[in-house]
Amino acid sequence: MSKKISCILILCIGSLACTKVVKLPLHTAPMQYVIEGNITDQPGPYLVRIFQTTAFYDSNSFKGITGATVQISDDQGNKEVLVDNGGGNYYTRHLQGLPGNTYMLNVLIGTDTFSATSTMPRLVPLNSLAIGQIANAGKNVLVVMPEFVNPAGPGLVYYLFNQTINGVLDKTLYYWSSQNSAGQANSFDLERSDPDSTLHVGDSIQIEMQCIDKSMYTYWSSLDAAATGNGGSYPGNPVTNLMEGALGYFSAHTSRVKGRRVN
Amino acid sequence: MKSGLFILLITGVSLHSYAQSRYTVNGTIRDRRSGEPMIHASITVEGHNKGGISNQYGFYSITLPEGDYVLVFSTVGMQPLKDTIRLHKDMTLDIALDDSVAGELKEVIVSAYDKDNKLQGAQMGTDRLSMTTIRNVPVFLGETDVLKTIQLLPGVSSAGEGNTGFYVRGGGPDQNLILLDGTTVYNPSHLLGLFSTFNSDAIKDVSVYKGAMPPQYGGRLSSIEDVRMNEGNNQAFHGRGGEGLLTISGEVEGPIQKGQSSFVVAGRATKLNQILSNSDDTTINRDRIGFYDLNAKFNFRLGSRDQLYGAGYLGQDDLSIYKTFGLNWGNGVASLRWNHVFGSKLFTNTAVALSNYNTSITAYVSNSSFDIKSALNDYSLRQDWEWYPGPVHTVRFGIQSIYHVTAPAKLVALPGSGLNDSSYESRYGWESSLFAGDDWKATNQLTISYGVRLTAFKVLGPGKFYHLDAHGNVMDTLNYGGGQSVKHYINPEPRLALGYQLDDRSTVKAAYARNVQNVHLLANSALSVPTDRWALTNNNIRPEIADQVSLGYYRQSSTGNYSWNVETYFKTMQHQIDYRTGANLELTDIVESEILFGMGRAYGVEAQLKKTKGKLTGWVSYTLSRSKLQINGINNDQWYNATPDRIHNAAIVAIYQPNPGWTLSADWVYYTGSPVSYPSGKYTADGRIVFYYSERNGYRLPPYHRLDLGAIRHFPKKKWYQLELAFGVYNAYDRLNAYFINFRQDPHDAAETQAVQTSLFGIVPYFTIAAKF
Repeated sequence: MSKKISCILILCIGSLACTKVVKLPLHTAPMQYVIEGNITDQPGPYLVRIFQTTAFYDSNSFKGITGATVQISDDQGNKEVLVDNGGGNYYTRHLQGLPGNTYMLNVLIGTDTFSATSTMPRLVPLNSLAIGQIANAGKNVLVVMPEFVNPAGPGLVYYLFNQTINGVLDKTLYYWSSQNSAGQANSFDLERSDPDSTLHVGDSIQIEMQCIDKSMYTYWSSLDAAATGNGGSYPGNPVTNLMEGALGYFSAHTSRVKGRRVN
Repeated sequence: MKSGLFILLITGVSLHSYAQSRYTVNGTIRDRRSGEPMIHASITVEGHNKGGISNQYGFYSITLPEGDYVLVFSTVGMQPLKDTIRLHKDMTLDIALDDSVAGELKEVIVSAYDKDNKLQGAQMGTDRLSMTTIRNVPVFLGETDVLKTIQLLPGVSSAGEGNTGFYVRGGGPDQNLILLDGTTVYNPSHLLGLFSTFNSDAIKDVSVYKGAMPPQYGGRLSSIEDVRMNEGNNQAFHGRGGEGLLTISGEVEGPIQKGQSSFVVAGRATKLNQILSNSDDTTINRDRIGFYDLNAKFNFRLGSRDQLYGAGYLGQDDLSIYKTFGLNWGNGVASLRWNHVFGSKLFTNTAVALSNYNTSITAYVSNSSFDIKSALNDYSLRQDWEWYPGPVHTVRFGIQSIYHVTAPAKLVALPGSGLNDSSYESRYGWESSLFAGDDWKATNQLTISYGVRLTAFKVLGPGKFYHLDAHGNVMDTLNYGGGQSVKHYINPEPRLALGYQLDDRSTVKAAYARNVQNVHLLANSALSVPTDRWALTNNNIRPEIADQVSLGYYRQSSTGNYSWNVETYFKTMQHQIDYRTGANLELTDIVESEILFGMGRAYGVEAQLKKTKGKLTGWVSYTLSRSKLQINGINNDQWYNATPDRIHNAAIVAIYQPNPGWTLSADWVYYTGSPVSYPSGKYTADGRIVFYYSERNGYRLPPYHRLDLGAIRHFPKKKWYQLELAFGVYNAYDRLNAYFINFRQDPHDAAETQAVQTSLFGIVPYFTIAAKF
């Protein structure tokens, strides 16, 4: 919220505030392993990526780690060692994700081991995508509203949405929970964090709705609050479900995708 | 504990009782023209090394052996008054002082200076500012501002433009207790820190205590700002109206019954909404940016021994971007107090007060809005006693009791918003203090101020309370009924201060004080904002405790034109708070699962050189200090720099009055940038750039510095009014100070990342006009 408030302050005195790109003497920490693993209720293969962090002023390309041993197992007794496809990409061959199952990821890189657990929540179906017009900082903008109904409970449901506009991933993180909306039709629209952003008539939109577990909701919300580089919360690394000190996450989630054209 | 202390006090005092007949002279010292009581005016017994000081209500009491004396009553800005008394029985002597002779510039400038004489007494780490000083120093766009001027003193630092609050000796903004006529004001700022909540037109006097406070004060670790409102002229009606770049303000005061009772009402409001509503843009003209505040005070003299005061403050801010976001917050304070004098040596003040702080966020999902409201209420009662048993003792004791209620969040959603109304548990706490202390002038050179404060905090139901594991997960939930005691903390806070006058021109002082704090502001950001959450001490959040030792040297030049002082302090703090990464402090009942606890330490040296007489007055202050935290779970459990850690902090304030028609002023501030966390690398998550942080607060913002220039033209007095025009520039050399620095993917090159600095204000000219009646 403090992020939003500082943005509002900037808007209020916008004519006086100014920004400039500055070069900072950032020191570079030793490289860290990053593990990104996903398993869904869609057919595989599922990908686990392993790569390294890079320095802030280096280009945005990340060195994949090959030669690791990657294994996913579930609480039903299934187990599979993933195939190293090079470039830090490891794929499953047989495994099929199912809601309700708990999945374990084990990674061995040299002598370092990393592990994580994630439970795939029940599916909340994505019914359709609506396009709405809302006011955002003095402008009317077009946004997508995913149409679904939050389950009444018991228990909370957590969501992550990925928006792709004309084939390009929207970098805004959209996450939501049924904490204050149990039993209600969804009212959370995908309002981009850049106040100038709007959808345009003719845009081709694709929305992936994931139902994620609580630890992944914590990961995405803490990442958004602390690690996107925006002013606001005390910066820090997101709260991950990976043990033993790796960055990244392991997420077992349902996935539903719908697309439409903005008209 | 308490009875032991009283015995100590009484025996200490009785040692100095003599068989010779002794009588007491007491009374109230007032300004003849306005009837305002004079706070901390001094009373000197000519030819004897004896005297006294008037209290917050202008009351004094001096006990002397039978005989004839010449008493001299003086305070800066007023002509000293001599009175010969024949003391052979207890007597009352009310004093009215006249203004320094107008036109005698030298005298006027003396009055422009702060009233305290640091050479006297044992109290250290204090500063008092007169309103004349405050009015002459421009702080933000020509608005004179009590709390902003305090930030130019050594050891006190602004939290930065656009931030609520300020730092004192390495403590966070919530470690300052801001009192308006003795009642807590929780958020001291308007417009996210650009203005303070105090309208200078309504304020009479400000005292700052930086940690080494006397026992009648307590409740915060770092400082007390004791702000006193005008009481209103009980002789004649007066007023003042002003218009500045952003605000209009007005003040009216006068007698209700001449010489007996008076009132003062002062108000202030911003003009931005008119500017916005004149916009042709149909959304901008529905935006709201502004605040108002209102101060009112009434007082009645009920005979010669009783005085009754009623005071109130109400302020509200509104920042709303049409259909996007809204933020409202406000303070409300009301108090009723009664002063009574028993005999000639015992003064008592009894007060009941209410303090409210509330915030409301309006947010939007799709096109429907929802509000998140929070509130904090304090219901308080206090009774202070001052006893003047003899010439060398002033004994103060009393009780304070505050019932705190916090309602952290209530979500109110409109039908169709897709949200359910929900509210988060209110918390209840009862904070009670018992205090006693004595200012003892042990010898002509040595003053000892000693005492103790005993603070009890009772955590009360109803509500759920939690046992947490090391990761903040709930292990056990306990249900308590209404009024049921959950936990009880008792903390003694010893206070000791020694002052030794080396000669006429120099004094050394030393002090030790323990302070305890039971309300904590949780702010998940280096930027402090009005919606930061106040939490009470509970079974997991323990009382914060600070122990400070300090040592100081004070010297005045032989002419009295210059004075300088150096103070050094070392402070350790227990149960300090920092936050888990990505902590959510807003919509949660278990806020303590989001925070971490540890230790703090702060130390520093503060130096100030003042020029107090002549056409040019002002001061130079410099502070070298550190503030660090050690909290398990942050930075590998090592000590790290706290957000208020400012290594260097300097201020230069100059006021030049070439003639009675003009006041020219300049102030320059410099401080080391706050510790911040910058990334030490980057990676991706699901296709988005994420920054990697190797430590908290491992970097610093660039240093902050700024020069302000101002001029005030005092037009000659007309028959019934006087005009005053003030103009100047804020940030005269257009320094672009960093408000914050963000990191992002380069919008023009997706393969790169960059750092972007945001600054709030460049150079801003201003003018204001005011009329006095």
